Amino acid sequence: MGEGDKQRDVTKESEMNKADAEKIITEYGKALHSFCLYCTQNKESADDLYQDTFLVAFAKDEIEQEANPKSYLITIAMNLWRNQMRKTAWRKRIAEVSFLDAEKLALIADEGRSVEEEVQRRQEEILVKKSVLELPEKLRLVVLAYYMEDMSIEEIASALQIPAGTVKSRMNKAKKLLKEKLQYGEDGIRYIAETIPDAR
Amino acid sequence: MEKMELDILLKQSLTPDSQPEEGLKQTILERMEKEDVSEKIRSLETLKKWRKRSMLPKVAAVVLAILVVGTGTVYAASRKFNQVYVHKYGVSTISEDQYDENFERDEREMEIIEYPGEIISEEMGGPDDKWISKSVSKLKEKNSGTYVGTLTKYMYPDYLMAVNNTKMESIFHTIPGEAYQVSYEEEERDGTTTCRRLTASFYYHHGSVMVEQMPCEGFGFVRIRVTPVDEFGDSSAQYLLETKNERKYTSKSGVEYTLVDMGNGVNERLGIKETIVLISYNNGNVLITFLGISEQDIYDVLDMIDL
Repeated sequence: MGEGDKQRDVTKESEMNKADAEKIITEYGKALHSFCLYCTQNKESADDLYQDTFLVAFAKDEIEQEANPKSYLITIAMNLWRNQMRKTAWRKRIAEVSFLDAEKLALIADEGRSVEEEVQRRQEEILVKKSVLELPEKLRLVVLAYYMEDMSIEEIASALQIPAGTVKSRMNKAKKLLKEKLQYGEDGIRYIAETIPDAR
Repeated sequence: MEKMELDILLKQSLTPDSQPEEGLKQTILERMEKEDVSEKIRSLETLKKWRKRSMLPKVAAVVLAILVVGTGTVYAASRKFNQVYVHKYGVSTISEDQYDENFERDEREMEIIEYPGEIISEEMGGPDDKWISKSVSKLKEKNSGTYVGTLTKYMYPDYLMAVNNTKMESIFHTIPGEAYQVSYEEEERDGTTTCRRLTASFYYHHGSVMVEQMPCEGFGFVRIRVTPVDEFGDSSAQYLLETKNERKYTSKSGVEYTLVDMGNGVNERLGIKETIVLISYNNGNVLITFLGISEQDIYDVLDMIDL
């Protein structure tokens, strides 16, 4: 029996039951879906990644033993996504695929929330989200894992299988880029650097 | 902007508040009963291995330039191997007396194609396709900026599958190991396929073996340009690797190979031996790059070749 066959058998035997699975989806679905959406920047891809992550987690049947099931799910999502990117030879993203811009992401993220109450905050959030989305993939992943999913530096390092020092340096690089990008204009309003109106 | 402020801003802005559609939950529950995801689980394991093994070569992006000149196809009953010569910055089938050293360095003499080029289309393989993905990109001449054709690239999950599906030939009687990053490229200019190339990397012990096959008649020319990259993908100017430690190995099947190490690069500084072997014969050229592989293991892999 080959390694793959063994894996398959183990997988079949270890699938968790539907009720437990449903409970986990309900509990962690929102956090995972947000991550998938920002990771892929495409709603269809996000939905696929979201489903695949749960399917893999349920088949492995280790999630209930995990101290931090959310981090466990994000780790799977991260690696499925990176694997997909690797398989396609780190293909360059193309404009034809309808990637969501920051504004659409904000609308999706804020569904059901009172827009009027948050207009002011939304403007700023959009700028931040847009800037985060424009970060290189490697940097974006650590920022999302840290700020969106509350993963520690050590957890991110373990998920990505890189040293903690590398996670820190990626984080520093990301923040540096974001600081350069997000600046105040003379009117006291925050802008993306290149769009700051001329004060003269 | 102060550090804390950015932290707070990021935390506030990146709240996980995207509610997945309710239907997705039901879809997952249905799929978990029907679908076998062991391949996906295995792919994650493969990714782990791949990352572990590619840690060292990853610090440098290596650009391989192979120039093959000549047209037409030779149908030979038996192989006729071309003599391979080692030059300061590469290897070729051009003898030293015909070889202009400046040619190697002077990129104006060469057509440099921007790589990767601008992608025109991409698609994932369907259930009946052997390939994983297909992309078509523009071939752009770097110096002049003119578009000279298109490059269609397929990614395959396996070397033999790629070989069989592209009407190429396997160069091995025994596959050296688990293959990763298997791709097949077709270059088209003015409606004619001008070049085909199959690339596959294999894990071998603690290193990797990369094979590039080009079934074109003509001479082979290889030089290796390196772009050092840092952790963030930033790169500085490219430079050429110098050849050193030229030697010969005659395989068990009686074919004599010329081996040469590539020096002055990041791999050398990290203590990783990078050895290349150019095999040029009447039906094409094969370049094999050994990274982090002992001399004996290189011989073992060369003994697996069946051309």
